Amino acid sequence: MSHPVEEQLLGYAIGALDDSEREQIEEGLKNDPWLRRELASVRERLKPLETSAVVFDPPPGLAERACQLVAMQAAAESARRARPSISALPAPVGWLSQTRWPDLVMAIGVGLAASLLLLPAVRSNRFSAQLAACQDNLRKVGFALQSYSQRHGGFFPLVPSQGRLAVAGIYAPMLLRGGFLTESQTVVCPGSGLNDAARFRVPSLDELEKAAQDDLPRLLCAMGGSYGYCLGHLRNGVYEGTRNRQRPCFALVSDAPSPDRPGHQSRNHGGRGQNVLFEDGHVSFLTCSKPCNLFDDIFVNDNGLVAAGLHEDDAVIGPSDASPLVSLKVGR
Amino acid sequence: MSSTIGPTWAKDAVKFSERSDEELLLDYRQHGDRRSFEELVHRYERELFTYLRRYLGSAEMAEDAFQQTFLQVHLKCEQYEAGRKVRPWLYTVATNQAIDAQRRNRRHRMASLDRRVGNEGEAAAGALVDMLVHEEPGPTEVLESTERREFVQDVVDRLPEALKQVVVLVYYQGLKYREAAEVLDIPVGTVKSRLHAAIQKLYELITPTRLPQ
Repeated sequence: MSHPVEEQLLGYAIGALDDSEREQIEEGLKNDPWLRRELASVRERLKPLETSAVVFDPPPGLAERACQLVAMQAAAESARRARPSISALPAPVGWLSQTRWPDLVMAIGVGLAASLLLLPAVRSNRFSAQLAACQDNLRKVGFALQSYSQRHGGFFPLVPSQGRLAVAGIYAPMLLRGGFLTESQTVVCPGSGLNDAARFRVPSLDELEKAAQDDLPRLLCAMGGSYGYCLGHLRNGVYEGTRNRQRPCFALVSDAPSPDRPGHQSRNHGGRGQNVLFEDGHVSFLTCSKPCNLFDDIFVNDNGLVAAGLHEDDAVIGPSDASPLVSLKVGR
Repeated sequence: MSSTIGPTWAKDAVKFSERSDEELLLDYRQHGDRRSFEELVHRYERELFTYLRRYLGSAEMAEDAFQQTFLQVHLKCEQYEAGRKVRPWLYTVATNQAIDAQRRNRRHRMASLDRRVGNEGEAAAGALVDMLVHEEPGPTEVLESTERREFVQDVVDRLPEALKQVVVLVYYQGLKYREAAEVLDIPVGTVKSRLHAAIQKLYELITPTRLPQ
């Protein structure tokens, strides 16, 4: 139910109106006793909230810690860009020759102690930075998938049910070929081992089609980057791709699951959990594989298998080389 | 040497503090000037921490979300559109971090199982009715201002997410209707109606039985 006058008076009372709206209300208040009574009533309703309008003091050094975190991230970015070789660094010959051994031992001891104190904090900040960068990647992939679905009748890239390229990782070359993604590094999680492979490139669909049989398994494992993708589902025994319904609990892409580990927990973030992109576009870090309730596991279908879901809401994310069930009729 | 460095630094400090948020962010984006970024972080330290603390109900989660917010500002500063206000953009980034933090928090998820999902604003009335049967301290126990404040905060916390967001942004943080609409990516009219509904419900829940007239 709409209350336009009360809503404007409420905005006036708490300073939420733009200048033009505020002036309009003030003009009305000059001539309209009813409006003044309404304003008094609105203010009365706000009174109980006044006691709770407090400012919370931030913990000491919060801004400095935030700046430090960002500086570390920026340094990691520039180091990744530069990557100087160790041999290019100047050797500290002069400094070493002028240092006495006791001083050197003391310096090493202090350095070790400082390392022991600082290492957990550095690791924690590094973990947070990698987690955030990974989430950023997944949001880009999410945006690409949304665009793809808009141009393909509401469907996300379909993992073929049979053939040489019937694996989850096919989503990456499809998004790149369509121009929905522009660079291979978007599908590389900064917390994964693949991140060290600076030259990683998603193979094109042509390269995959023409690949020799011996090379194919390696390419299929790598083409999804360090992320897994939704395998589609069955409807009345017919295999279908996933239709975009903006479901908040339907997982589309995540850090690649590891089927050899308990709960298929991803290795990307030190085995502590996985970032998951959901169909509505939000990204969450989950420490387990059951995001919304205790029954829906995003890494296996309702039968506990890494294969196509058993119904439309049975999301299953497979690693790059995972296939939906073979010998199924393909629908769309 | 030091006599020339001192005044230069002092001059720089004044220069940065006098710059607008928009100038600072653009300067950081274009030239990577760390001091611009630091000025922005310090400028919003108290305001955004208060926002996140109120939104998340936990100082620890708010601290983490604050740091993640500015990490995202660093990572996404290319996405900021020159000509728009920085403040609502910062609130958008902070709100996203708060939502992510809530989702990461298992306890919050368990507590939310009985909440409405989807378009919560429209479903607000039903969820609020449930709150009426919730047992709270009697009137005599809430006379102390601290307790009263905590009681009000608790009632606000238990509002459906969509209503709580507008109350926190507009009432507590002082954003304009238009800015809150931009932060939440919803129409201005929806912000107005949600705030109106929220204030009405809060008044009904807090006043008649809880606080002495």
